[in-house]
Amino acid sequence: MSSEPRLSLQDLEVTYTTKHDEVTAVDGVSVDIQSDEIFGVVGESGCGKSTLANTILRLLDDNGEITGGEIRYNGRDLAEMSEKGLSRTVRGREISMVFQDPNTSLDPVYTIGQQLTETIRQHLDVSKQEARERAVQSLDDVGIPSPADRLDDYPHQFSGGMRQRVVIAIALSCNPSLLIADEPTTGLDVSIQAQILDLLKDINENRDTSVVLITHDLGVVAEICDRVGVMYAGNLVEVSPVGVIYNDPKHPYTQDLLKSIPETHDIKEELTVIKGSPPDLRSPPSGCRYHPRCSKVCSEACETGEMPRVYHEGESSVRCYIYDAAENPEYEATTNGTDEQSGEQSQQTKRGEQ
Amino acid sequence: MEWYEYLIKRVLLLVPTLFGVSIFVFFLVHLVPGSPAVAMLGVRATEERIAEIENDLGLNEPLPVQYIDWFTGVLTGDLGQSYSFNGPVSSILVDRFFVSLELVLLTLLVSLCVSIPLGIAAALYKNSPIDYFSMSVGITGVSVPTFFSGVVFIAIFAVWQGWFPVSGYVVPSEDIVANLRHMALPTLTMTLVAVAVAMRMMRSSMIETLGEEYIRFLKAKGLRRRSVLFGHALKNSFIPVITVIGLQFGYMLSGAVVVEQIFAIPGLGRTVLQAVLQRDYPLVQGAVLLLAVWFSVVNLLTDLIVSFLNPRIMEEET
Amino acid sequence: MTTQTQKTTERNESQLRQFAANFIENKLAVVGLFLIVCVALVTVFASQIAPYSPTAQNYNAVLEGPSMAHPFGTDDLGRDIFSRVLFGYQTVMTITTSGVVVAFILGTVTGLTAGYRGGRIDQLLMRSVDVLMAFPSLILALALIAALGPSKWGVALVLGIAYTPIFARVARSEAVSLREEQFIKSLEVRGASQPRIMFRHILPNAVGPLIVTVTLQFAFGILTTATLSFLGVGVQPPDPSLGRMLTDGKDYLDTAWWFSVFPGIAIMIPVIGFNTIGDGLRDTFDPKQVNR
Repeated sequence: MSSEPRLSLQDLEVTYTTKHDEVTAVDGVSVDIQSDEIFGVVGESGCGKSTLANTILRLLDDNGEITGGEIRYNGRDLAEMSEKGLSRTVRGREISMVFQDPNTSLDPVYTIGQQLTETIRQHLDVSKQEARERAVQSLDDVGIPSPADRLDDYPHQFSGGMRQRVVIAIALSCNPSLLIADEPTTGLDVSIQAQILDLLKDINENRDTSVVLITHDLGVVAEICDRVGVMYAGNLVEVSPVGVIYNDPKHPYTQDLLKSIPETHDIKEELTVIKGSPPDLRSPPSGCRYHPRCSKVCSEACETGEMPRVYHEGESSVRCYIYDAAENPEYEATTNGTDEQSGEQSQQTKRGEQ
Repeated sequence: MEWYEYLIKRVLLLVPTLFGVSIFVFFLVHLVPGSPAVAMLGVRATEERIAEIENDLGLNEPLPVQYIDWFTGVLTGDLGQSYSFNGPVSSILVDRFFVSLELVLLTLLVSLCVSIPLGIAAALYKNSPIDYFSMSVGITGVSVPTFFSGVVFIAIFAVWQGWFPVSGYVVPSEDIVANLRHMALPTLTMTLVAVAVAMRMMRSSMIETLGEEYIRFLKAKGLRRRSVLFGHALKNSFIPVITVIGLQFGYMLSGAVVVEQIFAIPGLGRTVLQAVLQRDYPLVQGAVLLLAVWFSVVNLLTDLIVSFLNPRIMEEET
Repeated sequence: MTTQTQKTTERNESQLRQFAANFIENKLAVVGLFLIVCVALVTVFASQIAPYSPTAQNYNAVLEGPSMAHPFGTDDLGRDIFSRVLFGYQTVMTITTSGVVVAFILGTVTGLTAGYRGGRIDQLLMRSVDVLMAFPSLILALALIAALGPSKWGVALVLGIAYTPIFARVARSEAVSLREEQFIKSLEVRGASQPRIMFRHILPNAVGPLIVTVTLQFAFGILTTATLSFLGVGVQPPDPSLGRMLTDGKDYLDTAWWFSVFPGIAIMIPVIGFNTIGDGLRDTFDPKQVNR
């Protein structure tokens, strides 16, 4: 953990401009992705997690724009790089991306061999023959049987799961150090999902490749992730090691999210659905964006204050006023907390308010 | 499915259609109220002449016999005699066909050179002046009747400026320059429509393709913008355009009726019109049959090209 | 039951409002709608608006340019071109409307039956449609006119036959996809009759693509009617016809441009209108399928 993070997002902000309004889909997101970890990003649909994924390689739709913050990678700020430089040195070379639907990720009119070799020849100075050999190797690496024979097949000749393997093979063909996978298993059968997840885990373990896994499925996260970021309404509300997320979630939203998911739960306990719906980001709520649905509103600041800053609790970072000694009278710093404010101080505040 | 299986399947599917076409064309004559011979010759025709024509057309035989006789003729290239042109229908049609074909090929060539770049530019620079320009060309092209634009072009470029002849036709083997000068305005008139249709398709197809997920994946792979646009997006978005161009190519031979009439070009379209006005039924039948077969065959070839370029189509259709 | 119907109508209303809002976003289509409304008004009130009879000849005012008395000028027989354009609209609109209505009825019934019933009937019907489709529509029209003889109602009938295949294809593809829907299946289980399912349940759900087809065929229909008249095989004199006016007017282009230019523009206006509305509707109904 002490080493330089592989990718560091700092206070990232992304805004979509539509005809009538502006929507800040990602707001104040800061997180470090370490080398060799699998980092999960979870959240309900529309929370901005896909936008976040697309932002890193600057693949936003035409009406989306980075309006603040930095994407630090290898000493450079990807948010400031030229489109050309990004294509030549980063996209597909250093950082690769895999999308949700393998059926639409591949160009239907080229063979997968052509699509693999064009990527390899784009980034590596190799002959056609070498590129072809590397392509076969890539397919073999992701577990496609008799890869040499399948090179000249078209995408539609593969099954869904195999197609996603091909996509991953293309993404990994130039040995990137970071792979961003945006819901890579959503469109697949459950048994195939597990295979793809195993593949990602395998890649992470056997190569020097970090993985950012975007998903709405906490089960997937439990299976393979090392650390997890929870997104809500454009904010990264909590970042914790996977164990903490499941056993001692910090943010009320994470807690509610866990209660609403059957497989992370004892059957005896009751499933609860989070009341209300995510806010309209055209006019986000003041204070903490979760407060209209939160059962643990602890102070006025939750409702009317600024967006809560990031508090560090053990290995977690949380955006929630519960962890603010000044705002939450009942706050008691956790024993191993990095927050140096003592329990006394919070006691004093409590008294002061009474 | 292999491509030759697909080819065979498509050709076999054409057989019943063409059979239906032949029946329709055959019965055309029998749709005529009263005797076609009377319709052809007018009311003042003599009894003997009517009887003679009816005999020529084989109208005294039972229908199935008539059809078989006629169809055997068609297969051996004997489409009967034209009354208004005094000659065998088949040789008249062959002559006229090549005149029209030149017009159609010229139109196709010019319109592709204009419509494809314009459509791509409009799609890449959506809502820019070039997009608005191409959209107005598109709307105008499909909304102006060719007989109006043709007449306007004559007024401007032939009568007023005198750059091109008003009308007429010169055989290319005689004088290719004069031939092209005579073809210029008819080609321009037909091009306006053809450009509009192909350009609109190119634009919308390109816009749709650029929104596809694989385009984003190609960018994520680090492919240069040029390769993404012209290696991938163009190839994909051009496929539906080929279908439209093929349809047009098949149709233009018939659509040339108006232009050939305005510019007095002795092509197939003008011949059909004259045959209709003269009630020259064997010629009408022959020409309609030829145009329908041409249309079907061109469409078949288009489908084959398209399925060759996008192998997924072959799978989907089975 | 009442609440359910109420809910449905409420939902339909809000859908309709959303649809109208999307449609209005498309400014070109709104302009098109305006053009069509104008044309419809002058068509209906032609006899009230027209300053002259469309057939009244005036040998004292032959080939006169546009003026207060004759806004579009006069033709070679001294007839008022403005009045003739108005009545020409009546002719072309009557023919096109009849033709499109015939094609809509024939094509929709054929297509729905083929798509919903499937199997043998589908094969038979669609093979016949293929045969009609094998003829380019203008040639089909000319061939039928050759047999039936040129006349106003002949043209309407010819349009009806020539456009039937298009409606049949659209209706069939909608029926094929709707046939598999749950609500149709449940109607079948409850024993609803086939015509009832086809026309009360499938047809309303296929209405979007069909309306788009109607609008675009109107544009084609006006062009084809005018073209046939221009070629001399459509509307016959003395019926006023926009296409025919160009046939006569083109010989006077250098001396009397108004004789052909006004009728020409008059034809373009409703065609542009229907084309832009058709495009707008298609984008609104199905934003993904941008064009065809």
